[in-house]
Amino acid sequence: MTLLRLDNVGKSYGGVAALRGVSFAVGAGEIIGLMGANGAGKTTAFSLIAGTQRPTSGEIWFDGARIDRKPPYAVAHLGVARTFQIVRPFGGLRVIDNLVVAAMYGHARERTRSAAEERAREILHEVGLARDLERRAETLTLAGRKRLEIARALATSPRLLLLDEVLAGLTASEVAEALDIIRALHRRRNLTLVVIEHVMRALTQLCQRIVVLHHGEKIAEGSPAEITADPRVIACYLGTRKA
Amino acid sequence: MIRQWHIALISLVAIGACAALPLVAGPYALGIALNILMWIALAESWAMFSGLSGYISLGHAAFYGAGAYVTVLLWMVVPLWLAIPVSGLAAAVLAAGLGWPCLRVRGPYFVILTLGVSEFIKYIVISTEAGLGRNGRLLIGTPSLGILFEAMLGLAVLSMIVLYLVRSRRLGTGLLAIREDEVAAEAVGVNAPALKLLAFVLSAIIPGMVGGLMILRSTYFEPLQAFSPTTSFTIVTIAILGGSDEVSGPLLGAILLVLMSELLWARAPEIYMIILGVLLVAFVLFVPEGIVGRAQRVWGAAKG
Amino acid sequence: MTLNVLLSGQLLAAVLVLASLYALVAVGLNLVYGTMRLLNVAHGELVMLGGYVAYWGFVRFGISPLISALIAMALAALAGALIYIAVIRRLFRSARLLQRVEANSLLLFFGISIIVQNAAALAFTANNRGYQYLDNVVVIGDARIAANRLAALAIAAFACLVCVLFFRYARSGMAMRAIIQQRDAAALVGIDVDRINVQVFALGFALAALAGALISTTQEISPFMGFPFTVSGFVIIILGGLGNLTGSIFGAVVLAAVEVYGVALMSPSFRSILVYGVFIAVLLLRPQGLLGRSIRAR
Repeated sequence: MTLLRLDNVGKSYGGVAALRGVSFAVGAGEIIGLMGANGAGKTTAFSLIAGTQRPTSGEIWFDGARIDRKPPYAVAHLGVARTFQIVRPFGGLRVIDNLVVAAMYGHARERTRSAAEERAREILHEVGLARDLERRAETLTLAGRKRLEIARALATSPRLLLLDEVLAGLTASEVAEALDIIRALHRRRNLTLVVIEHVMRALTQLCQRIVVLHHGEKIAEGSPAEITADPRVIACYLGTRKA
Repeated sequence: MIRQWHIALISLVAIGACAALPLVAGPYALGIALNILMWIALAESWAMFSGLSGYISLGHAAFYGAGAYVTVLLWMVVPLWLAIPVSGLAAAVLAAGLGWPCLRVRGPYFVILTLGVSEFIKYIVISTEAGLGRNGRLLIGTPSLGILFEAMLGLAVLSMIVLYLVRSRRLGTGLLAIREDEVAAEAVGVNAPALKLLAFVLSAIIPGMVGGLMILRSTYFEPLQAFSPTTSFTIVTIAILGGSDEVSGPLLGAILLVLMSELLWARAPEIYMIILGVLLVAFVLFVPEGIVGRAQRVWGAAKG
Repeated sequence: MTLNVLLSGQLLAAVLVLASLYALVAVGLNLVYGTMRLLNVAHGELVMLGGYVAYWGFVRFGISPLISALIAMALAALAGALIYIAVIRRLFRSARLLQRVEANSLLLFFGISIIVQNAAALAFTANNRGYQYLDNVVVIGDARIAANRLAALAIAAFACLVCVLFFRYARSGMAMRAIIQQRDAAALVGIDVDRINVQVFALGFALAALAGALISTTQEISPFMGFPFTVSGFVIIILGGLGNLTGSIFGAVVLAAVEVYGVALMSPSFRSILVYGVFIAVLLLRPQGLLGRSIRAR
């Protein structure tokens, strides 16, 4: 079943086109990768899906409803959650409260604060932040904040999770750990994931299918093996080797 | 360990004591107490919106003035027990009308916009009154100081209860998230425009009623005074002084400010204003969380 | 109100005088904002102080206000440089303080303006003060204009011209524009941002003081006269575009025109309603001005 569908989506700022005629679909339960050089339009695509911006052309459909004209909170209510490339924690709030907000306002709202805190504790445990419950979010390290970003998105109990370069800036071992967490979350929570990454190895290990963007257009789509062998992809990424 | 019911008990006793004040205190002391209650009511209401959401309103004088004006207009037309709540309602309607466009503007621009709007309304009322041929309005036969005091006590208590409830419930959680990062808050489902507007409207009701009560106290309505931006500045200074995150913050700030002004007003109003300015600057720079906020920080660090 | 009067040189002259003075105020405000993202709400108080320097200079020492204007400018420039070095620079150096202040910078400057206004009221008494200087009437075409207003217009316009040229051709001026455009890039190409900041404060303050001195020749001054200029200044810099210096000059003309013609069409008591009305309209409808960054909440 198709959960998310982009139909000929375009976004222009003034004269500059960040995205042009991009179409792809994501089935329920899939893990899709979104790949491309800086400026290829990946984060723009996320912003359009999440509702932070509106496409200048095309349509975006989520679970049978058209979402490209909805504000971010309405899209979140339908079950879409996202992380930001540059993390945006609620710094002055405690780690647990970051998730409580999401649990009380997100897709599957908890009715009481204690239920929300319950959900928060559970998720924080899953991502490995259980010890840091009471700390103010701004005191976390970068790696911690990245986990918090994912945890907060999860606290809305989403059906679709958009992960924007959550591995950037992590060491090799941290990357491996994060991938394990993501895979576990995907299994346990019946999530659908769309993942933006620069770390090629991560994408090929994690995703069932990869969509490649270049200068705002989709140039390839397929399994990791197909993508890494695709001559157009290789041409655009001069010398990118299958990792 | 201080438990919630300890605080509730102490509060009830304190409120009871205050309620009995008109029986023992003379008009001068009662007047000071009335002022303290007035600023408590104003600042707690302001904190419910601005303190929690981070959208600093420098225009709450508009709601105070609007409430005063409505009470004056309804004087002798409608019984007072009706006129005051209607004044609060009028302020809420004004807030709804203003909030809808103004809350789209962020940060410092919201601050100066609210100030500009408050001044704009002031001059419109001045013009209207002039157009009606009115040079100030005098009210004769207003309620006694004792009655006004009890009413203001009610508003002050109400404002603290409201701030407490909002802060500890879902609305407060959402506002705090907006204050931290509005974009991230919307991404997790917080309907920021709706929450901001709701809090803004709620924060206008009590100031409207306070304005009505105070105009009954002064018996003379004059737009320049009723809509004076000094009211807005004082509210903000009180909240910054005492801290706007807890119910106790504006309470402390109001008491400190009124007591201090009592010591200085007799000398010169300019000195009072200078001290206000100095307090504002000093606290913004060094103690932005207010006295209560700083005390909590120190307490928390001491507990370890 | 007959069309004749409306189209008269009289009103046009009034617009030009007001616009030139507004432009001085606005450029100074915009300069500080553009380079450092600080909204100096106390800017109007500088105008007020400039006025008082000219007043005392004339009334006490018999110095022509035009000379006092230079003294006021020098004093203001010095004050600006000192304030930057002693306070603002320290603010920028402390990351923790900066984070707090940015959120509350407006309140900070409000506090300062309240202090300055009331200190002045205490020192000078709150009464309006005025003096006669060059108040013979000059007739140009069908306009009758007081010589002091003509002089104010001439000097202010000249100062604006000098500013425009300064920003275009002088190294410091171009550096300022570079910083306004892209602060980080400016530092990378070797611009000593700190030194330029000092100059920005000095220049911004000096322009305001000049405006104040000139204004004191044309109208009465009081300790609380500054705030309306701050408001007008804000309207203009948003109209012309935050950070757009020449835009401020156009914005000044627009606001002056709205004020003068608006008052002529309605009545003087509507002046405040008009100015604040434009203020609100600009903030709500054209948050990005003609060219500038958006101030919307999203």
